[in-house]
Amino acid sequence: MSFDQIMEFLRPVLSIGWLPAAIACAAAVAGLVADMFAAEKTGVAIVSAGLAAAALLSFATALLPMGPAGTLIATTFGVVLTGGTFAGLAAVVYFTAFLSCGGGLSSGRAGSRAAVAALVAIGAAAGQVLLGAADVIILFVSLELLALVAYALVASAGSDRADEAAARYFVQGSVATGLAVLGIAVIVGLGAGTSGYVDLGTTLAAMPPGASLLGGMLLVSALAFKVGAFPFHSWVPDAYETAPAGAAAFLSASAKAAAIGGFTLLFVRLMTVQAFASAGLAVSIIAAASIIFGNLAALRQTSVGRMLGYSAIAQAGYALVGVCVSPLGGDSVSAVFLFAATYAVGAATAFVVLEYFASREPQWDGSIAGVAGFATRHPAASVALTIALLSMTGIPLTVGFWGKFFVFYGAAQGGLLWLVIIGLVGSAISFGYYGRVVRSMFFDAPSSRDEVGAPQVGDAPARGSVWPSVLGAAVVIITGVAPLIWGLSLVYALFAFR
Amino acid sequence: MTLFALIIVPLAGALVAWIAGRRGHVKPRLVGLLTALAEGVLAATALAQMLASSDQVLLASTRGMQLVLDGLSAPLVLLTGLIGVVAVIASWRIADRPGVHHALLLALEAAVMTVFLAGDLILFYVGWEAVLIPMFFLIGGWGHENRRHAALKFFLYTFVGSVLMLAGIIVAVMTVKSTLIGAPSIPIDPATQPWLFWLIGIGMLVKVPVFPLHTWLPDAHVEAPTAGSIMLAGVLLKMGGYGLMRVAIPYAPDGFAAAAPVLGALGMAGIIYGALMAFAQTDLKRLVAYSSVAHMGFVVLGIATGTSLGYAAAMLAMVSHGLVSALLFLLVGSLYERTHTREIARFGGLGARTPRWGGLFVFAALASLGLPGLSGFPGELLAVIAGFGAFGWWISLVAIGALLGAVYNLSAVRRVVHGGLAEEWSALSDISRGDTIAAAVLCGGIVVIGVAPDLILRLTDPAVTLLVRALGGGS
Repeated sequence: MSFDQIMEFLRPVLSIGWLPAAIACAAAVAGLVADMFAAEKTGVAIVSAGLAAAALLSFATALLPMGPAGTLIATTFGVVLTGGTFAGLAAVVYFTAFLSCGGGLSSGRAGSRAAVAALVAIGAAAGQVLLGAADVIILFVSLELLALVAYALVASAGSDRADEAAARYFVQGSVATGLAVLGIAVIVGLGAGTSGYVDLGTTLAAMPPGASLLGGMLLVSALAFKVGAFPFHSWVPDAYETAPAGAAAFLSASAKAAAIGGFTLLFVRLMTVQAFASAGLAVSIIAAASIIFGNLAALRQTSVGRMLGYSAIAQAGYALVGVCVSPLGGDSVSAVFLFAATYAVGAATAFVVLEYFASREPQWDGSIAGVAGFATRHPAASVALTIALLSMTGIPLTVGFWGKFFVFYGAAQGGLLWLVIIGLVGSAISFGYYGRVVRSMFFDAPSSRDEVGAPQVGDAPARGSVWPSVLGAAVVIITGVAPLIWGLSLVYALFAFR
Repeated sequence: MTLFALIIVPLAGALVAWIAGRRGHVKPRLVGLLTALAEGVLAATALAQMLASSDQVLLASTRGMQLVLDGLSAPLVLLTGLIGVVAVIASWRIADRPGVHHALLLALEAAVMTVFLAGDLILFYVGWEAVLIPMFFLIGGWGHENRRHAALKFFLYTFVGSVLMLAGIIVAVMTVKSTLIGAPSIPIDPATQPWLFWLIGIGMLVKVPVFPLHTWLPDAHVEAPTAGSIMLAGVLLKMGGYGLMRVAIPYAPDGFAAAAPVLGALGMAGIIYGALMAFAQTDLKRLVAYSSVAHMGFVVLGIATGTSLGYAAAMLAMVSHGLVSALLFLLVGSLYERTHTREIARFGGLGARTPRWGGLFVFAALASLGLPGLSGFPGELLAVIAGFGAFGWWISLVAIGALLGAVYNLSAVRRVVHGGLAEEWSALSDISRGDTIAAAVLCGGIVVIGVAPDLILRLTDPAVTLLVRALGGGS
């Protein structure tokens, strides 16, 4: 049976848009039930398996050749749960969530791991809904569900610092929620109650430009907060540093990819309206500021997690570069999705490696200098982290290159060459801090302090396994090399915006 | 098929060397040597196939990439094959993780091959950046005292240049609507060409390196292990000159016409500055590093003329510099291995104690100063002749550089090879047999090209004529 025939055979199953989300949520519940019987490890494993199944299912859906006139798209309550673009990025959301749980969440507190895994699964399901939202109300509800999961994940470390970071994140997040509610109220209210994306475009065009622009600006602010872009970035480094690395992998990868994707799909419709042209300008300025600030601030960090947090601000900037040219056409939207996907896989891999390091090296204080000599003790994980960091830098042969290339290509086509150059120089700067981690791991001798207490076999709480890191790195490399051999159409097929 | 093999064979060899490295120290060396030799044979086969074809161009493509071998890339592909073997031999005695070392070396060779063979811009850029990764680890993992700093500096410096180049490539691809390298079918707006040329060219000028952008080079060369220095000077710098001729100039011929005087001036500045700096060095390896700046100045000068004579001179000078600098770094590396110092002042009289090494070093210095009959002479002479046609009497400044070239090379010979033998080296052993063989191969190449520069010129001629004709249409 040929591949096409298999896909045709599976079409009825793959067309059920809510199936991956249902599997993820069911796995979350099953994981919690297992936890009730004091089988925490099993619980995490069940959730991971569920997320893996959801990722595979979404991936297969993304590969499904589209029937004529988009017969796949099923609209229920304003949610479009299948279709090329959405399923492709949803697969990445589930996959990165799977990576973050796959290692057993060993850096989290014992007793809370199954709960954290369940939260991750529910958050991933919310991410899928967010990507499929075709209605601002659905967008808002899924975004808030994702935010609630994120607050809990940040707090899950249980330390005082984590509580403080979570509380700060929550307060700031509430303000962003308020802005989003106001923006949606303005747009929906002035549009006489229409909230679907398709109708919004037409009603907005008829609105007084000032009013619709106000709504647009409020939404832009909310977007900037959710993706952690420049003026609303202050929660990012704290959250990424204090959350357990596995949970941080979910926050930085799945949640961010879903937020970027969801907002792109909204903005691509709104910004075709003339009055929103200046909102596009605002997004491009936010993008430039995020790239500059994130990269420069990351240079000064000494903690790996915090450095990744600041670099995530810069990465959000790159995504916004794509968002502000997305109205140009379907290719530009695909470029944003591709970038979000490549960043998510890279970031998830990086945090999963950090989790592995944290579980295997209890003395490690999380600093960049502290990873000295890890390359000899944990070669596989060190290579995986290097690949992830190179991918986030945008070096060719990793998938991150394609993400950045298409975003910048779209921006250049949109006439934003200044933004392209800022972005590219920003990527060059980014190796200044990513490279320091690599240098420390591979070229520096470990300090003697680490050697003394290193062998501590008995009481290590949970020893994370290395395979999620290796899996993530392998995906980064394979998807980075494949387009060179089989052509770029492969990349577009997965994220085609139709 | 041969062209794909040129990229895949060293990659496969790298994998095997890495696996073999986990079993013992000897196997990865053998794997490295065999792969490098196979690569050299492949390069020669590809050349033969190219010469046998009717239009002297060899093409290969898959759905995602296209590879081209023509007169412009063939000499550099051959050079890469040869230098690859020399680099493996030069790192024969490395005892620290030899498997990984040889794997990186072979991966580096594959990446450089990709750059020289790339037929489309994306692949060209992919190879261009891919070169950085193995080089970064080679410098950082096996370099000398200051390797941590040098590795990151090398990477960042050249990476900044290449991302600007990427911006230029994006603009070019966007305008031309094709990623295939070649004279653009849709001409690029003359108003954008001046900045487009500099945008694309900056990445290459950093790589060459051209005078004010050269500061990464001395550090990288000095700190890199011997094999790394050989690859860096012998092959990697050529990517810059090749990129200018292959990509930057064809895509922005008007921009190049406007920039040519500046380029020429930078080339001449590099010749004089490199020679002055080389003369001032107290570290033998640093001296050789700065001599590279001077030699590559001739390449830039030749390219800046925009004539077929200048292009041919640049190709000749690049191949020659590849051989000579590889020989010099091989000798300096061999000396450092036995003395653990590169300080010129501590040497003296080595000609008497280590006659083979001394003889080879004198030969290399003579080749480097451009003695007629050796490879340095024809390329640099042609560059000056072409430069005279394009820039007039300004070219007489180059005479100062040529003179200084003789000064620093001969003074290095006097201070290291001649004079009284320092007490501490009275028991110094001579250069090892493997290094001697590698050096002899390089010497052979230097003599052949010096006596019969025609070999290279006839090879490059069709491609160069084609490129320059396209240029004439634009300016």
